[in-house]
Amino acid sequence: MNKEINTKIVTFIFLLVVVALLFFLNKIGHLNQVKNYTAYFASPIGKTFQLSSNRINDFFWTLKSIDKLKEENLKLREENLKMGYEILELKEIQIENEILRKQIKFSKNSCSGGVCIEWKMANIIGRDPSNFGKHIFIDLGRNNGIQNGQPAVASGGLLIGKIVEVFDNSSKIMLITDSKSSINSITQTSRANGVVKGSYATGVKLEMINQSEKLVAGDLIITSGLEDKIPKGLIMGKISDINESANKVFKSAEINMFVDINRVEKIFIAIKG
Amino acid sequence: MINGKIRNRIFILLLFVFLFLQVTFIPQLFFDNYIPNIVLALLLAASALNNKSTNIFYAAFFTGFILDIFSGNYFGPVIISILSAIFVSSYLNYYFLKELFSYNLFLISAFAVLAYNVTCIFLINISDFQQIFSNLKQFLLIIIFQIVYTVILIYPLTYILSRKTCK
Repeated sequence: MNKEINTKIVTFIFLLVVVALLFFLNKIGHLNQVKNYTAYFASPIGKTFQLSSNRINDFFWTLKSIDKLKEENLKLREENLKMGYEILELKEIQIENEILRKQIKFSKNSCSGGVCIEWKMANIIGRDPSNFGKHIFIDLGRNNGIQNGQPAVASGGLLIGKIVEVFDNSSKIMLITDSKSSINSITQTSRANGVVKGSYATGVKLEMINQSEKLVAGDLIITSGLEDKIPKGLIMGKISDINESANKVFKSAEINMFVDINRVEKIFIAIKG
Repeated sequence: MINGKIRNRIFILLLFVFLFLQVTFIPQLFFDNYIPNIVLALLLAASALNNKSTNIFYAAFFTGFILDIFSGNYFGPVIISILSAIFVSSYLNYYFLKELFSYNLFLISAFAVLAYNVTCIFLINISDFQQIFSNLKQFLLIIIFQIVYTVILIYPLTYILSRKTCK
């Protein structure tokens, strides 16, 4: 074999050994500082690139969906009228609620079961470059009170993922569409318990539902609150298609998400107080 | 020599710009699972133009390191996949790129992208091989799209890197 090829094989093997070493250093946490610095230096440039990327993406999206926007505009006007009446009703309910809260001495600060949630807004500074994972990088980290397992939510209370790795000033979110993501959930009206899992092909799926549970197309999927850091009631999407068969142990359903994760610009992290 | 130096500088500049584009702009612009890897295309183009040097392996290592930090899986799959692609590319370049440059560049980059994707899929799903078989069709589509994107990108990149910038 030629000397040139031999040198390449040696370089390749040498670098593979270095990767193996880095893998073990990462396992025992010795690579965190390097990752921290990389994220720290990449953060401002990443943010600038992300801002320009959002603008260009918005421009193409507007061009692509100009017809849809017209239709949507008409629908929204109708909905706006209806919602005007609903707001009036809700204001009445709010007043009634305040009175009842005072009557049972329920503290306004305690959100649910005495646990308060603080929402922190984050900017996206990077996205998963590979085709086989769905992760994003945000500009909040350990110094901002971010911890593993905390939920990441888009505006409107729509759950999009949870924190899986935290650095000093940035952190990594595994999106619910990632094939390794699974989140305990419940359907809003039929109260069927299941697990929302990411999938390479279809985005997200509701799985592990007992045959005895009832599923209804269009029903909202919300978080069950069984996971330690994820509060109950965050919306993940609605059931679009139900897959059931008498031969299978569990039912499953396809989920339509309400948010296009590619177009999300601001993310909120829920920090339980 | 001046040409070589300038070419290296252009390559390094492009590598940094492409790296930032790869982790911000590109994943947002393309379909869900069909993201072109412009950094891999640049490395393959550079490998085809300067096959004698082993520096391209170090560039691939650095690139893989950065991409691995941004990709969500455990540390390592992207570096190993990019290194494998560069190894396949430089091995094939050595034997086949001397003749019919354009035609062979097409085939070599297709094989290198195949090597990258197969290694990546294998390493990412190493703890759950069932995932590979249940998503085989999806993975095949991803590989085909990656090959198409890379082959489209590699020719203009080879042209940019091989231009005589200084007489």
